[in-house]
Amino acid sequence: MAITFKEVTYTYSPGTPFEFQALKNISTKIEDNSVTAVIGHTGSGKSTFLQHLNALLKPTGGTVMIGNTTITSETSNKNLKPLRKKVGIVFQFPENQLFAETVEKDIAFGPENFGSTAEEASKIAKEMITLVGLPESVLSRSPFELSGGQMRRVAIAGVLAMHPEVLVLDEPTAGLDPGGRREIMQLFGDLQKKQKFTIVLVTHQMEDVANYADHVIVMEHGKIVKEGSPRAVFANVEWLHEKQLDVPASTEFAFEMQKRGFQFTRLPLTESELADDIADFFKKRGQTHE
Amino acid sequence: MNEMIKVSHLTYAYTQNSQPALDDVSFTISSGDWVAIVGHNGSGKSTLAQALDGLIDFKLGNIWVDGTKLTEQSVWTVRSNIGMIFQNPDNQFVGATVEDDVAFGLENMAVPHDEMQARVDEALSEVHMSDFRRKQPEQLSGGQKQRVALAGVIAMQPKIIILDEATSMLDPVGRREILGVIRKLKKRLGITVLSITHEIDETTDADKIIVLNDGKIVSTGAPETIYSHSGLLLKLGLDVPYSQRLKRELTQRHIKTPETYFDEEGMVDWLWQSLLKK
Repeated sequence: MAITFKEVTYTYSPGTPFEFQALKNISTKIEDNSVTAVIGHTGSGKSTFLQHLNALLKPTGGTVMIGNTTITSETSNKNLKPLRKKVGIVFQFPENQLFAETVEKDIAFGPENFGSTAEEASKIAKEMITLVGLPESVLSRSPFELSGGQMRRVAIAGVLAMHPEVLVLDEPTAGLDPGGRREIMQLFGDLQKKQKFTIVLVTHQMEDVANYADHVIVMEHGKIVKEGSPRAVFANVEWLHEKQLDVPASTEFAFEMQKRGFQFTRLPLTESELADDIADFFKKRGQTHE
Repeated sequence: MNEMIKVSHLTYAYTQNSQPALDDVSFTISSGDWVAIVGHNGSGKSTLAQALDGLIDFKLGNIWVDGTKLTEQSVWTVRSNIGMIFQNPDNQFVGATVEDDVAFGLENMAVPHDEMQARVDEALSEVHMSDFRRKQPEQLSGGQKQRVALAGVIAMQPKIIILDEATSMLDPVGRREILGVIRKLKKRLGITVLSITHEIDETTDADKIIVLNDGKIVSTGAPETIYSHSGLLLKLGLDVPYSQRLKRELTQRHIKTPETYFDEEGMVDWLWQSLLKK
């Protein structure tokens, strides 16, 4: 499902001394069946942007098209329920939102609220727990006995249980150790390939952007200041440095090599691309060691 | 250099039948050193930090802090030497404003008002937060809140600062802020630093790294030594520094790389020497 923003502005507490414009004239399109990464500093408007993706916030000005539904400042909250089912948001530290006595009840809560029978919901819980890579035996346990990484998977299963078409992930790997981080990102990568989700990912991990995203949106002070493919966005290392934003480690490394006189036709995004480039340099010099 | 922390054969299990969270752990930390303890979630890192601060009641093994053996009687003396910073910036802000928060510990110790003022001022300036003294916690970023927490600790003039995953909830800018301040404090005030982390990138400034897995110390050494065993780090669910990752990729492409550890700058230099130097 595609989502289109047309000249969207959003103002918190309008007409009060606390008035604050968090989004300023945003226009962009999130393509169906793609992975879009949103990057920017704390306070750049990322979270406000995210909350427009399922009409948790409605634009103060402009329109958001979510699939076939148009959201404006006038849209009433009444008919938004089907929309919210289609767009699932995994908030930061989603494990904080677990509440039920058992994992099964926690995952089944959403489907039951949207009209599934208890039986159907329990069947969905079983499917989802497998989907996120946990054994079925976990279903009968209290979510609070699980490890941090497992709790996060349960929370994600709860969102997936709604069978969303768009999955919004707000820093899904924050606070996890490197092993846990790799697992969660692989999970989303696999899910996206299998189920053709549209994914919107907010992250500070530029390696994840390089590895998973088709499209990158850079936000600053409530505006989109750049967007394009990861390759196009990360090509301008100096510009990102100026904005105090990171680039993938391989791109940074190649950038440093460039300063010493190495020439790249295009800056690499991943370790394997960089290693290929370096191998080429060695070949050209006729010094390949066997 | 004298021993600031000494841990000897420390063993601790949360319940009688569970696997020990700490299993025969022994190490020493010299005064003024920065030691990083790394391990994946659940490796026992945080249990160790709590043991040092007398927050868990262990029966096997001993801990000495600045020469004092940690016992039920000495726990308050030991604690007065240690300042701890935890993971969540929102859970450790107790004051209504930044300066109140920094003064909280001093008020509990009944420090005279003038001295308190001076110590709060100094601590805030150490973490570059003087301009924020009248701000409320909602007006601060995560990194700024952690800096305030650090100021609160510094005001107590501890000999040791323990950072328990203190940067893991911060964005990259907040992370750099905190690490920068720690680096400076260690240098200027000679504070002993113990940082507990799973981010290998945050251990480059340490004098020594201790790798913990399943409650046991599996490796101890200078960063260069630990980083050169990248196989072990990966096996334990940790990352390896970027230059080591690149070396592995190059080795797969039959390029012979130096065996000693190089940081990124060193690697770029090595590539330049091998490929471009005339």
